[in-house]
Amino acid sequence: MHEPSGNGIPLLEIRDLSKTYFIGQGLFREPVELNAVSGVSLRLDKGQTLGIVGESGCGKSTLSRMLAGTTGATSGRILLEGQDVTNLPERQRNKALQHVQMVFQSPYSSLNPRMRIADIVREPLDVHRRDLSAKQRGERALEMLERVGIGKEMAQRMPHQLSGGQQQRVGIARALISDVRLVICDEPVSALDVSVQAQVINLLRELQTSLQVSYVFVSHDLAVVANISDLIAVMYLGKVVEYGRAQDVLQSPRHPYTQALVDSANVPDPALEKSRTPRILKGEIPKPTDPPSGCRFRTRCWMAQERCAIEQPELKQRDGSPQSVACHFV
Amino acid sequence: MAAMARKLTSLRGSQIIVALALVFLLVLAVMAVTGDLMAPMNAARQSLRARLMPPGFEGRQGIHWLGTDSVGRDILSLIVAGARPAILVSGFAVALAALFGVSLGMFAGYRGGRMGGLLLYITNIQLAFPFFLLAVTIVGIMRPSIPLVVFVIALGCWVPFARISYSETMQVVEQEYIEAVRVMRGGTARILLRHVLPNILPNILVLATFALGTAIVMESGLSFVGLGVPTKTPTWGRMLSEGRDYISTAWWLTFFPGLAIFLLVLSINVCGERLRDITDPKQAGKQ
Repeated sequence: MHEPSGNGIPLLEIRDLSKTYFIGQGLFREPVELNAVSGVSLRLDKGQTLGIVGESGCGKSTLSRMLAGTTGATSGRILLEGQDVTNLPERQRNKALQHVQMVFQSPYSSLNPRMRIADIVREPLDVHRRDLSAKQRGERALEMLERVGIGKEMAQRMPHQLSGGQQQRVGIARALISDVRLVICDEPVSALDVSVQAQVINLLRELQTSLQVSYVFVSHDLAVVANISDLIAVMYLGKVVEYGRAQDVLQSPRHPYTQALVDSANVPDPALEKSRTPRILKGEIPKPTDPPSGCRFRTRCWMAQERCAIEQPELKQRDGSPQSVACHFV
Repeated sequence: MAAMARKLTSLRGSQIIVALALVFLLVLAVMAVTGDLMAPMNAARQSLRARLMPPGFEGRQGIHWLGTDSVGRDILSLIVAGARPAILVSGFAVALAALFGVSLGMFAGYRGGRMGGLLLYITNIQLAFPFFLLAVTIVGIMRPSIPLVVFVIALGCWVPFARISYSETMQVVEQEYIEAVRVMRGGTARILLRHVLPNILPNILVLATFALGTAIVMESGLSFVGLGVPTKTPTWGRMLSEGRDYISTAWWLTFFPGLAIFLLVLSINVCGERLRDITDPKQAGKQ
């Protein structure tokens, strides 16, 4: 298992986390099992960012919802600052998870269209900080809005009067206003224009430095994840196939899937872009209700051999690689 | 250019209609509150000499602008006095129906799954009963009283409230801003009252205005068959039924109460439609 830098208890530790959905339950039909996430183990230290990459349907959204506590895990553990939050009674669970917040994919639909910006940002305080007066909570909301670059004059507006980038700033302000230690960012910039993406990423970075929060940054876009992450986990069909420090994973990807992902990212140099022959993955991602035996990637892998259909590769450091890889041939 | 001008005038026209409807509703609301104080004559006073007189007849109390009924009561005064049962009874009935239907619908929509199925099942049962049969049975068995009539009319209009708020809630609950409340560990009450309700309320309000129209017709219908609110003077529905025998000789007995019902329901619907346009936050500021 790869150990990230830093000693002691990590801020977030995930052990062998799985989520199975039973779909198509009916009176006369057998429910079909869907392993959205299976056996994921990761850890993250304070003030750091863990990027999770994968194509749609790889389980990254389910994973982020389990971390945010809105979806229960089928098995495995989630430890926040050493405390297991998976099997706590409702009340203690709420208390433990109040330090986890989330930034959503769609900036508009993550804001209640009938609430004013200031009230939206204030709401976490309304839930957790009843010790503050309404006035104090309102003032804090305005301060937080100022910090994300939304001036007082906009605080009384409705969400639809803001641009997409401003809306996402409001979402970030809401996530960071209460005493938060971990923010799950679920594709926070994929709905924004490229120019605005960079602004929002920079804002997230600034706030991370000043507030010492950790991010779990989920995206299908490797370039975006590369920009902000200290650690990267690459997911395929519910499993982590490669996990390690961002520079190791990006500069010397070991798993064939990661290699294909890195290849598919655009290269800024047109001459280089012309000369290189990126590996393009063929075929579709298999149905998650019927994953391939053995290694789940083998149906699209150019290195696949007989062994891959029988034996599931373990996620571990191989051949002196600094990152962990789940492939027999590394 | 011409198209624009036409659009402008039609807009002006629709605004005038809305204004007229509002004024009419306001006048009726005042009548409903003040009762027979606003009536030009004592509505209960009968005069056998002045029975079935046409509109404009000058009697001993003054001019009967809308004529008199079969026992010589002033029809205008009767209509004014009848505004209260018409508006208050149907108003309370709709409020009761909305309260019941919306709470049930929101809860079922939030929980989803079996709760939703159960709700739809119950509404189907309710819809399978013809309203009038149900109403006549209930009021017929028990003695007619104001609360009972309110209850029966509410029974006749709660289903759309439950269904609309059920399906609307299901849509709203899917939105990311609801998940945001869950992530901040906000409770069910916060989700339903602060987030779901404000987002479905405009549609509920519009529905309520249309339901009010239906309720007024129901109340008149119940009065027509003699199972309405027991009042000293006849309600609009009862005026219709009492005037029915004279319809070929004295048309004003049925025409004016019928017109009152028609105008009231029309005004409510006009205002309801306007309300629907206004409350859409994306529509606000346009026009």
